[in-house]
Amino acid sequence: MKEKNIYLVGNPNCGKTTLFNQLTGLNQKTGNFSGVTVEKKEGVVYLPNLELKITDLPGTYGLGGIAEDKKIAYEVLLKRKENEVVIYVLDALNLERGLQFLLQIIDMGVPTLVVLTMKDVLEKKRIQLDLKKLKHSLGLEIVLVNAKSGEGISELKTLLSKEESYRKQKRLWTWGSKEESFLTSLKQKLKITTNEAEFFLSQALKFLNHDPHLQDSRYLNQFPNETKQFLTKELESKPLQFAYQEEMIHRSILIKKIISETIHYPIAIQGSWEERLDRIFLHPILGFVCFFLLMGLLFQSLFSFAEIPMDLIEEGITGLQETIGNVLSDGPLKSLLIEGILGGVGSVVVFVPQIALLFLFIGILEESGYLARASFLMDRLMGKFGLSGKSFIPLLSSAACAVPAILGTRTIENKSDRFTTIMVSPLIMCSARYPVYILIVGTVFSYPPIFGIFNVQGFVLFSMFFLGMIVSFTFALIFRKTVFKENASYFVMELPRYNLPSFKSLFFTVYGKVKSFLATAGQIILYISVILWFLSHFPAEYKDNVWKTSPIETSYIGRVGKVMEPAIEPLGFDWKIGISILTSFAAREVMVSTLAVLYGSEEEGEESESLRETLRADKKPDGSPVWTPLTGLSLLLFFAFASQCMSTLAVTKKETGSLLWPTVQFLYMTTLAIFTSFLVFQLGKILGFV
Amino acid sequence: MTLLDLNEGETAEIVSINLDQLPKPMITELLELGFFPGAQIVLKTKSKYLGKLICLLGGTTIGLRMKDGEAILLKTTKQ
Repeated sequence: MKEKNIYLVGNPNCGKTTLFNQLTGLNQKTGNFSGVTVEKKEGVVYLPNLELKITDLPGTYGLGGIAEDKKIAYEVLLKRKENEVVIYVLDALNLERGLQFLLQIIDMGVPTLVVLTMKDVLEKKRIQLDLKKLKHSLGLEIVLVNAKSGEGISELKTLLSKEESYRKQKRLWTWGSKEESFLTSLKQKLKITTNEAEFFLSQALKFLNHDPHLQDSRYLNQFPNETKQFLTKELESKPLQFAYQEEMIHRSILIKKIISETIHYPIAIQGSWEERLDRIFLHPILGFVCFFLLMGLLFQSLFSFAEIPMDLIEEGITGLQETIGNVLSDGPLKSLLIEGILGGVGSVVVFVPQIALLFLFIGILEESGYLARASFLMDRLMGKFGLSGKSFIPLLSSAACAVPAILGTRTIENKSDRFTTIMVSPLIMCSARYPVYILIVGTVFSYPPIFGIFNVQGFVLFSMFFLGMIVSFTFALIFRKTVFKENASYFVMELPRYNLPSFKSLFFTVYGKVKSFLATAGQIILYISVILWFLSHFPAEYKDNVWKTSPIETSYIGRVGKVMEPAIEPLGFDWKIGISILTSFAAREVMVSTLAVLYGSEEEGEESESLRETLRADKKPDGSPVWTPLTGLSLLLFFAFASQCMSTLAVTKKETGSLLWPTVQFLYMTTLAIFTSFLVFQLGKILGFV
Repeated sequence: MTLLDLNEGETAEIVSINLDQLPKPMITELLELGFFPGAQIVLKTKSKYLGKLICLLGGTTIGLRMKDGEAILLKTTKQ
């Protein structure tokens, strides 16, 4: 077979990603579709004497979608090259909707191979499917698989390598009789013979008919001027109905016929246990109780399960630093490697276990079908803040990191909802804030537990999480009432079947996400760490064969700190805190390592007792402690609100396609941070808490 | 009759969708989810507290807001 590029296409929740993971395993990479920032998942299938490249296109219900990720699936198929074919993933339990989209793909003239998933569920529910008849009705090659267990995958792989598995098919459904005969005569006049050309013609006709779902003139513009005029005139004189809605109705007639001939359901599709689960998860009270219990479990496990691997990574980095320390002689190179590169990058790598766990949890919630229920449950609440339940998922994943959360807003069709969600996502307490909060809280709030059980520090952390949520929702309302007024929010969502997640597939998903997190965030941290290292060690001079670097007070950054000190004093901060704030604008967690460097502490890291003790012992020139509870509170609020993450700003720029929105995001968040810290510190001072 | 008027467990046929009542992107989405004239729809749940409707359309469970359900016009069919 000639070299082929394969696109994996299908509805959302059809088992497409599980199949992609099953076929490609670890041979995956993520990138972007050219020209846009929609994540592109590519993988390679290795077959005997053949390597096939597979691209997983975003799941969509049809070719009319306007959400970014859905649009891209359509554009890719429209502009496909000669050697590009499609594997269409069809959910055996959702044939009606799956076939709608498949028939659209056939209309476009794309060579297609169909993979029918959910073999296991078909068997469990004793649904009889006449595969031979289905193949015959569609005129396509179909293979039945269980993507989760891998059953049928080897048969699929054999088919993948054969040229004849990917078949082009003529349009199977028919328009109404008037439209159909009009189209036939047009095709004869314009000498249209291929599916592709007919597809363009029918799209052009829909445009000329003012179809509200197709307002794109490019199909019509493909035709020469005289054809355009001819088509316009022909349509004017005849009351014909070329519209997306009509098309779907006519397809549906064919689909109903196909389904009645090929599939037999012995019992109602919705199993009773699924209904029982829905009665609990979607209950107006129980539903929320379950949701909060799940969230509680999530945060609890983030802290407890992640601790061991995090400690191991920390030890590994310290070990590496020590080894380099022993091998290299003192000088700028050693300092750059140990303090700049390993110190900086290490501070990100340490969070990998937490981030992996978070993605794992969100992956489980998504694959099991629960996340859609949570959106459904939260829609009313979100509606009060001008958003819809669809914004809830990205906002929830902001608790891990605002970057994937902002990328996740692509599923929101409504532009105003989407932009508002992008703007407020970074206010949710993200994982980069944990180390900062843990350091501050551990330093200034070291009280014994209340009633012997309630940990004060835990309580402060939980409050910070709530504060982030409330403020983010409030700002959502402000944005929705002011800048993003148009398009009222709406909510319509499929509640997918409950599904036991495939752990193999989850593993590959988490692996891919962590890899891309390290690649993007890690790079920024690396650059900033090197720059920071330079600024905090230079100016330096080379004297008597030895490099003499500056102490922090007289280094470039120390000088800046001293200059800015009067400006931040009203917030309760001294110059060292000022510098750590300055460096943490690259990424919040840099604050901890900066303070560690500034205070000359031996051990870095938020759990380091010695850093906390050093901080507590630090005195102002007048002898009073720098790190008071009031300063701590002011600093906590500053970190809760300030826009201190370059990756977030970069991704906001990419996703909104303009510099305006990251600028607005940076300014409103930072202003809010300065204002709140100032207010709290000054009020606290007046009330006598210093 | 609209989707909102349907009782839990009842089936009806979609007649049309009131285009003026809903935002444009929502109409396309509804269409692709199977809300087109002639389609059979079952109302599964009406949750006043959540302000939601859950319905079944060709094997798919779909949730939407009650007020949007008013824009979906139906006629009753015999089961």
